[in-house]
Amino acid sequence: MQIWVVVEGDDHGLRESSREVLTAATTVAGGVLAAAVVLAPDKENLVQEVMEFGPQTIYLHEEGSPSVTGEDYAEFLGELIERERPGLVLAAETQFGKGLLSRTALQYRMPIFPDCLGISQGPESLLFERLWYGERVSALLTSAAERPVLATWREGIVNVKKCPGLNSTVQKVRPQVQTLNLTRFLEEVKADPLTVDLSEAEVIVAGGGGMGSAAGFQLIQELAELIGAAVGGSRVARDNGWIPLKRQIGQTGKTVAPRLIISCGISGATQHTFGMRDAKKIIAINKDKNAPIFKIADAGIVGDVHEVLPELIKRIKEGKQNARPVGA
Amino acid sequence: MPGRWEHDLEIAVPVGFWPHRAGPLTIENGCLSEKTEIVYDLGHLDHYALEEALKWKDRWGVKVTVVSVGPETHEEGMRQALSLGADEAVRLWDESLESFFPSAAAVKARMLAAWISERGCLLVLCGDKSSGSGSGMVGRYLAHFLARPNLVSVIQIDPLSESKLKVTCRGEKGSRLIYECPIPVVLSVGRGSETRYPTLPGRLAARQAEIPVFNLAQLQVEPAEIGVLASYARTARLAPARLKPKKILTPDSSMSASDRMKMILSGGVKKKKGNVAEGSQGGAAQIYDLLRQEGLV
Repeated sequence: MQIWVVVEGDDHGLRESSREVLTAATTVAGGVLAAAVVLAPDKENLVQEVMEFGPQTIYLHEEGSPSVTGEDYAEFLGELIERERPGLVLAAETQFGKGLLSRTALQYRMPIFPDCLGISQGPESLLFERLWYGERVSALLTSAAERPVLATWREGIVNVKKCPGLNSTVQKVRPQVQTLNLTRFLEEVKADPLTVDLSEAEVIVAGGGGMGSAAGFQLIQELAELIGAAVGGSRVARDNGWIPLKRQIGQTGKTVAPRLIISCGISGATQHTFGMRDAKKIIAINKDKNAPIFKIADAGIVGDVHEVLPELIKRIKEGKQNARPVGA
Repeated sequence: MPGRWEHDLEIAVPVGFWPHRAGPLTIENGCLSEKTEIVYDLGHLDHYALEEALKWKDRWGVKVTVVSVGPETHEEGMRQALSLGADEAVRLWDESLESFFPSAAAVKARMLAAWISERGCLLVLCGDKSSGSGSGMVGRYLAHFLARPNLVSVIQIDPLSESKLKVTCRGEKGSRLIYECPIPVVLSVGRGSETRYPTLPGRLAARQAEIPVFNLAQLQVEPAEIGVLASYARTARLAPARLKPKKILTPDSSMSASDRMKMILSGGVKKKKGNVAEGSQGGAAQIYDLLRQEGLV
């Protein structure tokens, strides 16, 4: 059976959730993926990276634009599936992936299995594993329809593994974007950084054992409030009761992927860095110049957090004061 | 608000009645065990959909009708909805549906669509995902069959005019997306504000309420069409859910042994050659500049 994957990209290239689906689909397909459909601009070697998963064909839409929602490509994908007749088409369970596949399923009358945890070969047809009854029961489902089947794969449950060595042929496509003007998008209101879930935060200030005490940890709070960041911490901070469990970053806490993380007084043990490996930019402050955190930091400051942070906070406050117009 | 609503608008709330999220549940031979005393409850998100509808009832006196596709056991859940303040309850069921329930979202949606279009409910509020199969597809299918727009993860609904709504949805990274959409519409409601408790008079009235049942023939839905929709998804078997899979760090097999060890030791973070500065004065200045570049100060 031919298996396809629809991948997504963003400003930083191929999305992690798409890597996961590519890995999972290659396993389901028994090693050879029939095709990958790329509906994203080819930024940061995106196509090159998709090739490393070894799909035989890549349908590439070069002008993919981030403003187009998944639903808008439904007609294009539906037509492509009708023409090429793959057996199974997969995407990640993201807003884009689910929007695209569910609309395609509706318009082209194809079965869809959303949010799958696994797909295996059953006695007659494929078995799709989903969670039922508030995620407490695992249900194995099949489809008896003689149509291509669509499915989305849950995020964050597959270890990415590449399957290089095969050459893919790239076919450029130019999809007709069909927007359904039934609703009108008005605006997006960004989340309040102080209360947003840590795993969704854009900017994080994190503190560790080096903060010394709960009073010392107040510096982290203050800096976070000033720059509009979320507060996080290491296992040490959590064990000392400076932060609740939901604010802990690492193997036993949350996995975060912020645009910027400022690590203060955190040495950078593996258990902690595991939870922040997807951070785009890391700034580290630590008084031990041999701390492992410096090896992965984009900028490191060797110094005492109790001196650096107050100085930094002072500068930011001064900067804000100067920026304020006269008489305000 | 527009006076027309006070008389005409009827909100349909499709609900389900499923094993409670915290109640006992055991699996035997690939099915739910009959031996356990399963505690049922309205779908977790159905509560929120109903709450939004009841808020409209409180403010503008619109009519709220709960409608459910399910066997007789669902009536208990519909009485629960009535005791919370719904005006009427309707059950859609046909004995031919028994064999593929509850996996077929498309079938449920087809029957709901038949009843809703006949009844002329302009606003449909359903839970984002059911507590049964939890596919989140019923709302989408329903909108498709009714040829209406659909928004998912809705957390707030405000009327703009007689025929337009301002709808707030949950977006990625904790953000809120605000849309304007016309009525009629199907909205899939996500986890929102606090839900209410039933009142004693409500409970008593709900006990007495009549719940009419409509079958396929009464809904004028062809059994053949239901057969096609039902073939989309069939339940093979149930099993206790395995432990939630979690991603762990596994280095790529194509890397060399030394690279793999380095990767494990660094916790999966790529080594970077960032510049390291010393001293608190200079350090603070450096961070300040970086924050400025990022547009944070």
